[in-house]
Amino acid sequence: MKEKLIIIVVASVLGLLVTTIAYYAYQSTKPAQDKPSGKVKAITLKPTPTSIPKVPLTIDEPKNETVVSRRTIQVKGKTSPENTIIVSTNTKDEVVQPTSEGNFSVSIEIGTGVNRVVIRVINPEGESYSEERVVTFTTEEF
Amino acid sequence: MKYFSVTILLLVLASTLLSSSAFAVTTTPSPSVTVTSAPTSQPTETEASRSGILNRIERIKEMVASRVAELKLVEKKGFYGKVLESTTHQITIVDKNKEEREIEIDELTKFEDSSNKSFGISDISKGNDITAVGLYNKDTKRLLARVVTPVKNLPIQYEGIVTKVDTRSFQVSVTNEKAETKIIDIERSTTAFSYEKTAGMAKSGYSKIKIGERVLITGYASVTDKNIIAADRIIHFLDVPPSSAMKNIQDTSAQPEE
Repeated sequence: MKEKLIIIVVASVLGLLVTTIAYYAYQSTKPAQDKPSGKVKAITLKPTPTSIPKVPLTIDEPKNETVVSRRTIQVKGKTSPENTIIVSTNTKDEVVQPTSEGNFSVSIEIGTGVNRVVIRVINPEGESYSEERVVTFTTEEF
Repeated sequence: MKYFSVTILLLVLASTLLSSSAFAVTTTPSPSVTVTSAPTSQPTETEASRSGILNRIERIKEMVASRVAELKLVEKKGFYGKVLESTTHQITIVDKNKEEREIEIDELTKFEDSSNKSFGISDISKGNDITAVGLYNKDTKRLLARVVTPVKNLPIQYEGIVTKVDTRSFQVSVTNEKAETKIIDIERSTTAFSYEKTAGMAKSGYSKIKIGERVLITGYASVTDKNIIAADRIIHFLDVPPSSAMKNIQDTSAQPEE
């Protein structure tokens, strides 16, 4: 009886030992995916530089690809108060200064057919930024 | 005697109860007829008419909603770009944002060209600049063209600083921020304006344009020489400084030749 008990205890201990060794052996052979190793370089990701214009400009009107039946359009938007705004169509140029809040509104004549309306902003340092809107004049009814 | 009196009392109680119940049975029916008959017939009629009105309102609502959705889905638009592909029923163009736009052609689409009365879909080929106005479907992002027109010569803009003024040939050299120089041809039809923050825009002349001034040219690229722009309009800025890149160009060009 005593011998049997000793055999059971020894067998259990051996079993536990074998299981533990097998577990550690398996863990050591696993590829180190998440573990940082000494050879891996730490890379810090810098934010991608976006092309933010130096000169702020928001155009509220006209929307791109607008179709109009009048020869005069309204160009509205916002920029810095100290900037100079030049609005150009196929036929005319208008230069304006924004309000103290930076808002601007220009009434400008457009040509027949398709017009490239260029809104250009120049800051006091001379840096400029422009945006374009395609505006088509037609009297066609549809 | 006691037994007798108890029996009597019980009988009286029983008769009282019976009579009261009988009284209640006989009196209630008459008012119940008048009360129940009136309200039951009237609500059925009004409910029917109400449901009819509600149905009609629902139908109008649906009609309005579908019309609003239709109006919201379709809007007038004008596309402009370079033709990539053209078939009898569709034109694909690429716009200034390098975006491909699809234009549908149907039997109502008109093709207009002031210089060519027989202008049609067969005259449109890859590389042509065209404009198409029509109904734009926000869902399909396609334009059902109503008028298609070729675009032959749209003005271009050129901004920079004046690096040379040639009074003999009526030409001005303008260098932009990328250090590209264009020769600006001043023609009889060219209009020149000066701009000053305090005075605003004022009529100017070719002779008033000075070297180092910031200018904005609107004109047409020469067909023969891509470095020449035939000026339609010139604005020279008196108090708007050149950009840092333009200043660098100015400084470089001002350096003495070795």
